[in-house]
Amino acid sequence: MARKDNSNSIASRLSRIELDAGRNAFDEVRDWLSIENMSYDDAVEKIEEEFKESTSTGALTNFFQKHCVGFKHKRARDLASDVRKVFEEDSECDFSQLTLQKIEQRAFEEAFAKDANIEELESLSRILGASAKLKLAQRKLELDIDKFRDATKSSIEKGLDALLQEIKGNPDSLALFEKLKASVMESVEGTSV
Amino acid sequence: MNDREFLILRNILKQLKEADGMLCLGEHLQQDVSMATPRLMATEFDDGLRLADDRRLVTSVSSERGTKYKINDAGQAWLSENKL
Repeated sequence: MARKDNSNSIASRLSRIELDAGRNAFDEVRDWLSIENMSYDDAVEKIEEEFKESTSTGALTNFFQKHCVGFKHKRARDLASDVRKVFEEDSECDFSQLTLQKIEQRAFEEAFAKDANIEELESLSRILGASAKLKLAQRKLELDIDKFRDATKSSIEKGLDALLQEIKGNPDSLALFEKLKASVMESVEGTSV
Repeated sequence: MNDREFLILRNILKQLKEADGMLCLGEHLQQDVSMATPRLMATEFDDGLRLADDRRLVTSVSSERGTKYKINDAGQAWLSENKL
């Protein structure tokens, strides 16, 4: 049998007070306790002031347990999931599932904290975004260095081939040339990053 | 376990159940369990968490931000057995 709702509970009384934009006093008080982390004493006073309803900290404790716990966790989970999606869908960020899971967990912790620091979450997002960009820049630099190395190597090889044509038939020069070639090639390959 | 200890353990597990698989930092868990439990003292919370850990109802993970907790299958079963 379904449990009968107590129409005199603070939740029922607040639900009957309509506010602007389709909200009611119930939503307002739930936000005070879950999002703004207002103390029970302050909430008792504010409910009396704004909605002319009397209540107690005991009643609000029940209200919190029944209506705020699930709401607060769902809100934190949704926010964490949104943050994860942002990184998942960003083509510049190629994070592994483990990293995405860590991002989601950290976002959940920040959203859930009493002293929730959204700025910290934003700066975390920026750092992660910056690190992805840095990785891309590093990769581009590596490719540029490879291209430069190939170009340098090929022009040195052309020069050495021309020199080889000139000294053909002279064994002493050829021996010296082989030493020079080995030393130059070793030096070019040694400068690679 | 007396009624008070039962209430605290129940509130700890209910909070963790709502996290739905995410890990909760000990300090955040304490804040919300305090909101849901009248006049909760820090030592009572610590004892409740220790009880949950000793009975293997939660899984704890150490991290640089502090210990994090998650309800496990045994914890879920405890809540179901107690019709919560």
